[in-house]
Amino acid sequence: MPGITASRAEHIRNQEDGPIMTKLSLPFPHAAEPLPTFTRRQLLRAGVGTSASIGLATLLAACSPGGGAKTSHGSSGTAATGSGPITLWEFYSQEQPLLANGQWWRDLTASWNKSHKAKVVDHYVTNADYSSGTALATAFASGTGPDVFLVSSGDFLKYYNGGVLADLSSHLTKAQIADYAPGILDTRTVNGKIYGMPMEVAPLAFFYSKKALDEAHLSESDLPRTWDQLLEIGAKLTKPSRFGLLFDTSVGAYQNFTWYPFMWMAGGDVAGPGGKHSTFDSPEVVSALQLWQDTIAKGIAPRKAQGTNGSDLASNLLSGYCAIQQCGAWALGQGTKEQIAATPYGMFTLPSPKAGAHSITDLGGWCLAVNAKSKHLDDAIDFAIWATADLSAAGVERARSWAAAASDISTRLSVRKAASEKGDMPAGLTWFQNVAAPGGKAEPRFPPQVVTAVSTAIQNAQLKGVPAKTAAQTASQQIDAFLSSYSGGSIAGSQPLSV
Amino acid sequence: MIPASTADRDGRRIGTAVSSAHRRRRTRRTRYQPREVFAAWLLLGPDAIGLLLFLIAPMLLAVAFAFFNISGFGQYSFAGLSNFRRIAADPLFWNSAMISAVYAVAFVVLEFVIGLGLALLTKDAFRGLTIVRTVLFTPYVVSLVVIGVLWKFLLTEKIGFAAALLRPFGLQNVSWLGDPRYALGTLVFISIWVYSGYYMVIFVAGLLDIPDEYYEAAELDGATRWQRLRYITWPSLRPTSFFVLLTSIIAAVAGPQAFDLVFVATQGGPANSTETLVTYIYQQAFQFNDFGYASAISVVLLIALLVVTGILFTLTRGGRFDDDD
Repeated sequence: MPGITASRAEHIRNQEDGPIMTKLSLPFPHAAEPLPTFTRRQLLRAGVGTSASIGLATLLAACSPGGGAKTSHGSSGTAATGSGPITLWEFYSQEQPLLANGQWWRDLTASWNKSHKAKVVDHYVTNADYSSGTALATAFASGTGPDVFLVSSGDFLKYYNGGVLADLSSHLTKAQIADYAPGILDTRTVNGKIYGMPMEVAPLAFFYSKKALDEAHLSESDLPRTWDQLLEIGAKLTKPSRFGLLFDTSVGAYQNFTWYPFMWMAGGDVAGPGGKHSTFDSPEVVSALQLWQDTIAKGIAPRKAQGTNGSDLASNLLSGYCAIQQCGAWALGQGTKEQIAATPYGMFTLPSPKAGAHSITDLGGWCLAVNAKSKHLDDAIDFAIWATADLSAAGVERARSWAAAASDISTRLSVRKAASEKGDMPAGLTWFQNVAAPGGKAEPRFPPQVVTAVSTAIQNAQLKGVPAKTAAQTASQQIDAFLSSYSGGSIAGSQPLSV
Repeated sequence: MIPASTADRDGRRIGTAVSSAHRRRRTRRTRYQPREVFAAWLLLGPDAIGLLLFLIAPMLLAVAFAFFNISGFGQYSFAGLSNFRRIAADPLFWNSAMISAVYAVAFVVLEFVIGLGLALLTKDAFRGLTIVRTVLFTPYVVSLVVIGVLWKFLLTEKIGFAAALLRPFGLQNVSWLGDPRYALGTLVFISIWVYSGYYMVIFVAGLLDIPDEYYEAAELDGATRWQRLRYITWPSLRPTSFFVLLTSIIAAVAGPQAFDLVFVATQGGPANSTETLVTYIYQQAFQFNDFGYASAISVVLLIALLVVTGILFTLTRGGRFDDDD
């Protein structure tokens, strides 16, 4: 306890039945009055009362559903028992503010529960905790993982290798599989079996501030098409209170996701065919690392993004912290009307190394997976497929409303057609679908050890100033060392997707 | 019973000291009434159960887990010493160990000096003393997560408060948390800002424990301010200094400041430059689901802390320094 040292606590104990007194010398002179004294009987009574209160509270917590674990909807976040509901974990439906993508999950569970006997309980986990926290890991480690949950491409192999992804193939009809755009299901398929239902395609592009462009007397025709031009325009847009360009700087899978397109456009890749050996020490990979290092070395990009990270458009581009920001289609839903009015923005595709080369983007996105150890396995699979792959008119509308709420491109052909016919697709999303996404590649799936090796190389080159070649070679050795004894699910490198 | 004539291996007689200590222990031994014993169990019981359930049991489990490969998805296999062999060859572990060591040394030395300095300045009553102490102590009661977020804002490149403050010196473009050259030093600075008030309070308590008569006698003997500090304050503060050293070393290596603050402010970056051992353990356990390896690192950390505290205890005779204290 601050302010009271043990050496200054002198216990004066009455040998008989007199009061137990504690004389405490406090560091503050004004607080040096003796403390109130208590008889032993009073202390005993207080002790019994306290113990009873603690015991009662513990008992009540243990008896309550979920052992007192609070969820956004007031229900348990732990896996259901055989007779309990199906648990669904997601990171969208926060209370304040409840955004359209959060409302979609609430509507989803309400709609399912209305028409099905097996009930679903939606459990909200904060995005940070879901993506890089302990929530999922501890739940699975303790055998209380959710029945249905979201998995990113970056984490797919972690869960697959852990044996907790249920095979959904046998529950899907041929028509349902055919409704997915070519290549989409491949990233969630191992040995011909499908282990996750992709919910969206999220292409990356550059967002730019129109105001910043005007201030620098630049027009849209000046927007960069090559890496050299990117550095040049970035420098022109940099001023004492603003950076010209922003790449993500936070360590982890998201930064890797945003860097891969530059590696691909240069002609490099992380691993060779089949993922058996590293190809990371190639000159192409080095050139992509060099580009990111140059943006920091030239002072045109910050070493630290604002807000969550580089995926946060509102805290960076819209706040005026940078003039150009690499971000995904989901950013179209970010920022208040006032912010967007104050900082109108546009988009352009990721520049390629040389003029005339094609732009390649990374097509990320989350999928809905089912816990193979679920006590409601069949019901949970039915729910996951109903939520994402239902071919009925209601199912198509459900998937369309998700794409609209999440500001992403749908993974299903029928849904894209429905969105097009409805004609309410935001102009920005249409641009992403028609301009940014074509020619893009699916976000590769790697085991965490490979993700970390790549991530360390990017961080070392970008922020530590380690020569790009050295960073690539070090990572390549680590990847090779890991792959030599790797025996998990197949590594899927860069695969073109039809969008 | 040790005979009074017992001598140690160097031939020094130790019997007198041992027997006098033994006598003191014997005189302290007292018979307690059953009701007092019951009261003690009742009052200490909840704490003891809490410690057993939430500290000792997990600690023992972690030691056991260190000898297994654990996927985090219910798959276990005995690994023997392989996790420990892996540690020896893991460059990221050694990088984290070095960062933890540098952080701990810098933090412990600086907060000791600053905490003691602040205590000496705020020991005696003066107008506004309570306000000064409150201001200095306030950061300690704020959540480290809040502090991490707050400093991230303050230290933003170009537009943060620190950038505005340092603009006249041309330092507005320095990324204090984003540049590997400065990130660890910045975390040390923030930690000292948080904890110096707390250690000030501990030192003030120690200073107030020193009888005024010592200083009065020294003044009469013509001792200077420095001599009073050197020959009265410093030796009398040894038990307090021991407490501060011990707790601050443990806190710096494995306490909340080594994880919460780092995780919020830098997440171990940039480029692993602030990756402490505890954030590395977290990464292995919760990002790689490699609970066995994470447990093995925890065991190594535990042993390292036991060795350091053991050395401290040995050198200071359990914080008593000598029998005269």
